[in-house]
Amino acid sequence: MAVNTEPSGATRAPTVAVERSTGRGTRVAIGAQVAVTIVLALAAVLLVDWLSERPGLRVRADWTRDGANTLSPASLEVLERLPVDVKVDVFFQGRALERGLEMIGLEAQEHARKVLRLLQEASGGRIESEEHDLSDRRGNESPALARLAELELREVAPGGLVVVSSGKRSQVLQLRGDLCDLDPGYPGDQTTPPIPPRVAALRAEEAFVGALHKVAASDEPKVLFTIGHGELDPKSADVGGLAQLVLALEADGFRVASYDIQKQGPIPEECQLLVVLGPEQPFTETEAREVQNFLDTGGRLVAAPDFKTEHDGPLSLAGLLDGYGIRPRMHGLLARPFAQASGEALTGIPDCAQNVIVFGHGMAAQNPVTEPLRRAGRRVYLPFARALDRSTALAGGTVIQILTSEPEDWCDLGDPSDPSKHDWAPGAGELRGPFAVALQAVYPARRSPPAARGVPGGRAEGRILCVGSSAAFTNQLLPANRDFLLNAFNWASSREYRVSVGAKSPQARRIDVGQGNALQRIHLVAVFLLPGVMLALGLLTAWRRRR
Amino acid sequence: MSGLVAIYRRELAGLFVGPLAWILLCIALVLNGYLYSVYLKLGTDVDAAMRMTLGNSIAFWVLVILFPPLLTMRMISEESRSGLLEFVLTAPVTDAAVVTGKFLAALTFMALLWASVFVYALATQSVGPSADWGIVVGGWCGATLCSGLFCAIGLFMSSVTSIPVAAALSATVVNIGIVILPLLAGLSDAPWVQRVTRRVHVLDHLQNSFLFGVFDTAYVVFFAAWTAFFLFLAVRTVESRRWR
Repeated sequence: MAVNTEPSGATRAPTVAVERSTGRGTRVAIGAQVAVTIVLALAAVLLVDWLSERPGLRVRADWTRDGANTLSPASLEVLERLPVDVKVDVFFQGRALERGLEMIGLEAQEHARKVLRLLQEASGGRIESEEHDLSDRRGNESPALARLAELELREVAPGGLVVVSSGKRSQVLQLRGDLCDLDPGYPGDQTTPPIPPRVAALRAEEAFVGALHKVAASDEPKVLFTIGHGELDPKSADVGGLAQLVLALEADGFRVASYDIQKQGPIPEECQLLVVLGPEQPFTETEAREVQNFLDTGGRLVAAPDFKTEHDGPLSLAGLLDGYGIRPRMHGLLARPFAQASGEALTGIPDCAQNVIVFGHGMAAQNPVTEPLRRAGRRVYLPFARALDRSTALAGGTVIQILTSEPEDWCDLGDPSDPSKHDWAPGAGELRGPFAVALQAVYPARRSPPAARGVPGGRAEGRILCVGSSAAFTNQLLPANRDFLLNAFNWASSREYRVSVGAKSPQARRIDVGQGNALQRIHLVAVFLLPGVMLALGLLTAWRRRR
Repeated sequence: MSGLVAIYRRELAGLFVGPLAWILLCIALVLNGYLYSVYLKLGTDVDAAMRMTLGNSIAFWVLVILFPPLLTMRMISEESRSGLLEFVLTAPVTDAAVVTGKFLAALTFMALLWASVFVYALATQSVGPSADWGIVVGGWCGATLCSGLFCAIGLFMSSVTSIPVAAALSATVVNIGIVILPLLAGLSDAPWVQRVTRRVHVLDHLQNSFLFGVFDTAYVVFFAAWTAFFLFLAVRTVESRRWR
């Protein structure tokens, strides 16, 4: 038996007692106690962590000087009233933007992610988001491409896109144009210094909230495509059909059907939007009266004249529109010199009629239909287009030109003996551009609308949007014109869900590398001065310690 | 409390009297400073460059994973091996005070390291555009809290073994595991895996909150709670020496 001796010489108690206190049973008991305390501590940590994320207990403070991490009151209001769960799929491509824009593209993506996260946190779990990696391929499968196919999207534009969806409704937001505006800058020349690319405006909050509002909206406007006069077929999947447009409208929350006024009778009261695309024959008197009655009672119309026939009598589409301030010029089709690879402009070929494209500068600014496209630098393709003129607008109404063609366009009148035959060359008597190729008419309703149609926005107001080319609506051109067309239909049915959130104009807080020695000075401080001070302090400490 | 302060001062003095801390500081500052100026040279926005320096770059994560284990590896294990720990434990200070004092010393070192961004921000402001100080301060807070978590892990590992190198290695492995676990979990499609890993996603908590200039109590509590948990484990491990 061991006996311990204290430094003072006093004899301590024999270690028998110690051995008893750390016996096997005691060790097990202590071990169990430790295990229990560790489990309890872990549980406490998990509980505290969980509690800290509860909305009532969580406090967020935005320390940035311009409140970059704070949602606007308008956004918070939309989130508070969000009636459905929303899924957000993010398909960003790292460096897919054109050369020079990669870095600012990444900045814009980061901003969009941040806004999405803020919205998610503020939504109380009603917004779920998932970012898909387009480069991720597991074997022959790509989960991102599979999800894209599920969302009925075929490709991702440079920079990427975000899809906001709820049930069958979805909204596609392009990085460039919807979520941000990128200014490519100017490469510079002998007289002008280069201007670096920059993010001109960050619009993610406005775009996301608008999309949330739209996919969650409970209204489903009834859209009727007229048939029976040689119009484009809404059910046809051919290149000249409208099946793709119908699918896009349905995904956008519209209820779509075909309607033959002659056979099916008066336009139903619940119809909010009538669509007349490329009628080859005029309406009957009854039909024309019915359409006029619809328009006079606040009904909405999207129309495009036919390019094969030249009916412009009072019962034709042109004649009907004339009463509301829009007059399609039914004689002649617009054409544009076709640019060859050599740079030489070519005329005299049918391609001239297919070459009518409206660029950003031909789109009306601050207009809900064209502004997003203009910002994004998109184009609208209008083959075989008719020029549109403004006639006398209804009392109290306005007609606005939203798409304008180029100055080099001309209105090709065709052969006088057979107007369907064109020489596609600008003749002496043929008018030169620019021409109006899309017009909007807004006017107060002449009579009270039926109760079933309701009054969007609280005012009985008629809206007509006429596009010069019916071919612009076809399956062939839908991928290119999709955004324009959806904007047009949404405007016509008063569904401009734009929540007014001021776009953030990021200040370019960058060091100008090309001028002065600012960067060298920062480099000196960061790489040499600061570490040098530490090194000097270390040496000083070592020296003092040695002494 | 006085015991804690005494231990803290002793550890801090121990850190800065030896060459290791100065060498580590010098290396880290050269690396950080060089990368910061490179980000600016590439045309990155000043705020984005700050974010890169404080958590959006691989260099930051290398530093934050490696430095705390190097700082803490000797704090308990070396003292345990040399018998100094027994002496400290018999002093009139609690085990918690011993562990907390050592932890605070390591945390002070890391906070000092990340405080270099204030110098960068001032230097940048003196020659060009001003950084958003909300982002600088928020980023520093986040980087310090994150470093605190890894210091606590390092201290726990140091308490488990009496071999400093083993403590550093095991702490590094745990740190790497914590950082990459949510990334690996991304390979799984199971929603519960995503949910669980999202809660312990250290990168996410730092990058999407503090680095944007947001002070979010949920993430502060996350770092503080897990740091406290590992410190608790370290205390229990140190305490267990009394029973042996």
